[in-house]
Amino acid sequence: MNSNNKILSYKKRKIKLHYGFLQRILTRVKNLHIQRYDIFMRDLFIIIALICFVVNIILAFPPFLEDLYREQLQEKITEFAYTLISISVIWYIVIFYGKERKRSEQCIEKVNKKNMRQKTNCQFMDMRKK
Amino acid sequence: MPRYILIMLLLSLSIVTHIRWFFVGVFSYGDWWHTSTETMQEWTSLAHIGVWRSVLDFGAVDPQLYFSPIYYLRGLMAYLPHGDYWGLLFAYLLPMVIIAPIASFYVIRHFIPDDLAAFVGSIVYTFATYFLTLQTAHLTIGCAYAYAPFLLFVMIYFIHEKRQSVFALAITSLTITIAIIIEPRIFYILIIFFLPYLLYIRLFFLRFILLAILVVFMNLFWIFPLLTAGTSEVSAIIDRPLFGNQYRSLRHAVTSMQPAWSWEKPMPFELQPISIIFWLIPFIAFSGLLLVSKQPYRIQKITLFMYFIALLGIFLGKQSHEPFADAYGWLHTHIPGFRMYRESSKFYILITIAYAYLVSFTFYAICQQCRTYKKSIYYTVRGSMLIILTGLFLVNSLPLLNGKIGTMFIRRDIHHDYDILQKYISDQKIFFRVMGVPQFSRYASYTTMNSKVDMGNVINNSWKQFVDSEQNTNTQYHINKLVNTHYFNYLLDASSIKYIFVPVQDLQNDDDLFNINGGRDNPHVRQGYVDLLEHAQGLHKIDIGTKELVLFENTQFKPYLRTLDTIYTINGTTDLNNTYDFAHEVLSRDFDIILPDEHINIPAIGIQQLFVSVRSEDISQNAIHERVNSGKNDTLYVHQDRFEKDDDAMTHLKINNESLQYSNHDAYANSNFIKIDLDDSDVAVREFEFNDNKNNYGNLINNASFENGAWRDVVEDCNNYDHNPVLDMNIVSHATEGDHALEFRAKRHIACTHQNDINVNVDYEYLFAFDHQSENGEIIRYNISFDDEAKTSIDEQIPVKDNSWHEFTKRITIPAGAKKMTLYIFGYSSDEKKETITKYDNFRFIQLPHVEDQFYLVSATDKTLAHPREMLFEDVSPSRKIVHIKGATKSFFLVMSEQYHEKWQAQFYNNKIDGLLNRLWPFTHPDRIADEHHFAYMTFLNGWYVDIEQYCERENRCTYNNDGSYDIELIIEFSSQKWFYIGVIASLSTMSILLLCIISRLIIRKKDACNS
Repeated sequence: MNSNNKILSYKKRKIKLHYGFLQRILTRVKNLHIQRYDIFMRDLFIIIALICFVVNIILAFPPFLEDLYREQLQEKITEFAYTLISISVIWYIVIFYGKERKRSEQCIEKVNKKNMRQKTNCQFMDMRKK
Repeated sequence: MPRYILIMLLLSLSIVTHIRWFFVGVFSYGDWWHTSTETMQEWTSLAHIGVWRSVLDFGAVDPQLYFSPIYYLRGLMAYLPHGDYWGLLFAYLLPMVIIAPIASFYVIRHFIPDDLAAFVGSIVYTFATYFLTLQTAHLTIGCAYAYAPFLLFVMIYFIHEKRQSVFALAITSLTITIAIIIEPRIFYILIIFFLPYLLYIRLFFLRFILLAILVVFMNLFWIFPLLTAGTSEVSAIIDRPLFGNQYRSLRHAVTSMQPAWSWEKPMPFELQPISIIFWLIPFIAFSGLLLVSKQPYRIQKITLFMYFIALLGIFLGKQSHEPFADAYGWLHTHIPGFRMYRESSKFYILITIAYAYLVSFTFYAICQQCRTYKKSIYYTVRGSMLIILTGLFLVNSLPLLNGKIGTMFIRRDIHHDYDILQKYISDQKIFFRVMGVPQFSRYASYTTMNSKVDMGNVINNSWKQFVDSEQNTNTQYHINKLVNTHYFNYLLDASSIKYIFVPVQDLQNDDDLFNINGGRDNPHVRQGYVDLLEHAQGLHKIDIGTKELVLFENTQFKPYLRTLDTIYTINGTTDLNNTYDFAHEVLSRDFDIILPDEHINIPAIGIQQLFVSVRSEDISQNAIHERVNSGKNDTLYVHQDRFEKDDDAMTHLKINNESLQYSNHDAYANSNFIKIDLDDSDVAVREFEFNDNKNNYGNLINNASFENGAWRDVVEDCNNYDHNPVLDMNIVSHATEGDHALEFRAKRHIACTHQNDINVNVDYEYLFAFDHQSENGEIIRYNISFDDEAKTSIDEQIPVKDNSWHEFTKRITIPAGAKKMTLYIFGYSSDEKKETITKYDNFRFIQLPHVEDQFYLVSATDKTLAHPREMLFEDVSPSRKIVHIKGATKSFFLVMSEQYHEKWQAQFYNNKIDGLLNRLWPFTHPDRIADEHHFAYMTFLNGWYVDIEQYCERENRCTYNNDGSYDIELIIEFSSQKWFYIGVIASLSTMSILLLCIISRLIIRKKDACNS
C-alpha cells in the first residue's frame, strides 16, 4: 500500500469516526458494486427505519400537532419502520443462512479430507455425520 | 469491574426500588386479593387439596389446579406470625425482586462476552414497564416473567450440552415444571421462543421427546383431573373471545411500553401516551442491526435470532393492528392454546427479552467499534452509554420510589370490622355460607366450613336462571330485582347462606365495591343496598359490634345435605315469582325446583304456567297455542280472577279444540284457584288455546317487513367518530316475509335505522320478534328505548352463527310510566376493510294478553315419596362426603349444597370402593345412583333421586331392617379427584427420581473434586 493510500485510509477512518452513520452511507455509495448492492439496500432500510423513530421522537414533543393526529401519524410511521426492519432482518437471516450453509459444506469437505473430527463451527455437522 | 459487584449492584437497585415490599404488611390490589391466614392454612390440609374448590361461591372445578404446589408452600408459611405476608413474600415478591435481575444478567452474559453489557441488559429487563405493571396486580405472571430468563438459561444449557447427561435432562425438566406451576400461559409463550430457536440452530434430538415426556409426567397432577373433569370451567378461563383491541397499538409494542403505564397507578383500560424516552428504545435496539455483520459468527447468529423474536413479539403484542391486522384473530381462532390470550399483553415478554438482549448488544457492538480508538475515547463512550442506557430504564422505577404507583406498593390496613366478622363466624363451628352484597370484600375471611358467596358473581353464574341477564347488564339492577322477588329468601335457604353482609366502602385500601355497582351514578348506593336487605323477606339485621359493616342473618338456611320428598319441574324461569307463590300457597310446599331435562328421569311434580313462554309461532288465528305432553294425573288450576274479570273466560280456553265445561270443575279450598282434573290421559299431547277478545294480536310496528320501503329515507350513522362513514341501506328481495327485507352495508362506522313513537301500554307485556341474517358479520344488535322517567332501554347483541336466516324472540316488559317506544336496528362493520352485510325482516311487536298467574298445569307423579327416618353425613373433604341414611321406607331425594357437576357421584358403600387402593384407583366401577337420577336441584345444586325399589329391593345395595325399612351408606364423591391422586403419585414419583439423579450427580462431583 503506497503512502497516498495510507493517508486516504486514515482520513476515511477519521471521517467515519466523526460522521458515523452518514459517512457509512456515503462510503457505501462510493464503493457501490453490484455484489454489495444488497448490503447497501439492507442497511439503507434500517437507516430509514431509524430515521422514522427519530421523527417519532420529534413528533412526541408537545407543540407538534394535536394528540389524535400525532398518534395517527406516529402509528403510520411506526408501521412503515416496522415493515422496513422486518424486511431487513429476514434479509439478514437469509444471507446468514446462505453463508452458514457454505461454511458447513466447506467444513464437511475439510473433515472428509483430514478424516478427523473438527473442533470448529461445523461441530453440529460433525455430529450429524456421526 | 468484577462480576460480583455488578450483580450486587443489580440486586441493590432491585431491592431499593421495591423496598416497600420488605416491611411486614398486607398487600392487595386489583386482581390480587388478600388471603387470610385461616384460608391459607387450609391449603396445607391434604384433604382440602384437589380438583374441587368449595370455598368460592357454591364450589367449582379449580381450573388453576397447577397452582396447588405454590398454595401448599404458602399455606405452610401461614402458620408463622403474619403468615399471609411471608407466604406472599417468598412465593411471589422475592422471586420478582431477586431472580429477574440475576437470571437475565446470566442469560445475556452467556451470549455477549461483556459483563457490563449484560448489566445493561439486566436493567432493561428488570425495569421494563411491562414487568413493573405486572407487579402492580398480576403477581403470578410477574413471577413467571422473573423466572423466564432462568428457564431460558437452563434450556439453552440443555440444548447445547454435549454429553447429553441425565443430570441436564433432570434439571431442565424440573425447571420447566416449576415454570408451568408458576404460570403455564407464560411458559406457552416461551415455547414460541424456543421452537424457532431449535429450528434456527437445527437441533432436534430424541432427548427433546424424553424431556417433554418427563415434563408431562410431572404435571399429571393437574392434567389428569382437569381433562377428566370436563372442559367447561377450564374453557371459561382459556377459551375467551378477543378483547381490548383498542387498548393495544403498534407504537406501544415497538417502544415496549406497557399500554397502561402512566407513571402513576396503571390505567388498564386507557391507551396511555408514549413518553419521548420510550422512542429511544427501538432506536437503540434496532441500530445494532448495522453492526451485526461485524460480529463473530456465534454472536451474529443469536443476535439475528433475537431480532426475529423482537419482531415476532411486536407483531403479536400489537394485537389486531396493521400490518396484517387479521393475523392475531386468525391465530386466536386456529392455533391450539392461543385462545388463552384474549388480549396480547402477555406477548410483551418476548419483546422485553429480545430488547434486553438487543440493547446490551448495541452497547457491546459500539464499545467494540470504539476499542480501536484511544482508551480515553473508549471509556468515555462506554461510560456515557452505560449511564444513558441504564438511566433510560431506571427512570421507570421513579413511581415505585415516590409511591405514586400505589397498587401493590402500598401497605393496606384491614378494617377491624372484618376481624369481628371472622371471629363471630368461626366461633359457630357449623357449615353455612356468607354472602357479600353487592360483592364479597377482598379482606373478608372465608374457609371451607364457611365459604364465601359473591352476589355480583353468582347472579352471572349459578343464579343466572333467576335473573334476566338480557334485559339489563347492570349488576345493581339485577341485585335489586332478585332481592325483591318472593323466592329470594328460599333461594338463600337452599343455598345454605346464613349471613349476608354489606361490606365497608374502604377507598383507601382499594376495597370500594360500590363504585362499579351503582356508585358512579349514586354516591349513596351503599345505603341503598343496606335498605334493600333490611326490607328483604326473612333477613334480620344483627349487631355483632361492627361499626360500618352491616350484617344480616337468615335463620332458615338449609343444611349442607338433606332429604326431600317433593321436587317440582317448572317449564322455565319466566314469571317465577307467581310460580313460587302458586307452589307455596296453593300446593303448600317448599319451592324445590328443577328445570326440565330429557336426560333426567325422576318422579318430580310438573308445574307449568301456560302461555307465559309464548313465541311468535304460537300465535295464530287471534289466539295463543301451547302444546304440552299429557300425563295421567294432570290438573289444571285456573285463577278465580279469570272468572271475575271475564264471565265467559272458560269459553276462551280450549283444550284440543274443545271448550272447558264448568261442570267438571272443583273449587280448590283456601286459594284463588279453581282446580280442574284433566282425565283424558289417552291423549298423548294436549293443545291449549287461549283467545282473549280484548286483544287482536296486531303488530304494532308499521311496515314491519319493509314492503313499503325502508323506515327512513337514508341510512343513519350510529357511530360517527369521524367524517368518513362508508354505510349503505337498501331494500332487497331476499326476504322471509313478503317480498322485501332491509339490508345494511357497513364498512366504516355503524349503520342504523329506527322507528319511533310505537305505542305501548304499561299494563301489558309484549312479544318482540324479528328475522335476521348476515353473510359476513359477527353480531346483530337492536336497541329498544322507552320514554319513562328512567329512560329505560334494552340493548342486546346477538352473535351471528351462520349465514342463514334466524328468528329472534323476546318477551318485553314495559317499564312504569312508559307510553312510547323507539326501536333501533344496527348494521355493524367487522373491520374497515370489507363491507359487512346485515339483513332484517318480519318485525313483530305484539301485545300479549294477561296470562301470567292465570293457568297452571300440575302433573302429579304416581310414586309416593317420603323422608327417611334419619340422615347423617361426614364431610371428609371438599370432594368426598360419607352419608348414613337410616330407616328409609320410600324413595326420596337427596340434595347437596354444592354446585351441580356431572362428575359428582353418589356411590353405594361396598367392597368395590372399600380400601385405600379402591379409593385411589380411578378405573373402579362403583355401584352408584344412575346418571338419570342425578339432577340440578334449584338449577345449580346437586341432587339425587334414591329409588328404594331399584337400588334396595331389586339391586340389593342397602341393608334391610326388621321393620321393613332400609339403611343406606353412600359416598358422595367428585369422581375426577381420583385422577388427581393418581396424577400426584405419578408426578411425585417422577420428580423424586429426577431429584435423586441430581443429588447423586452432585455428590459424585463433590467426591471427584475432593479426590482431585
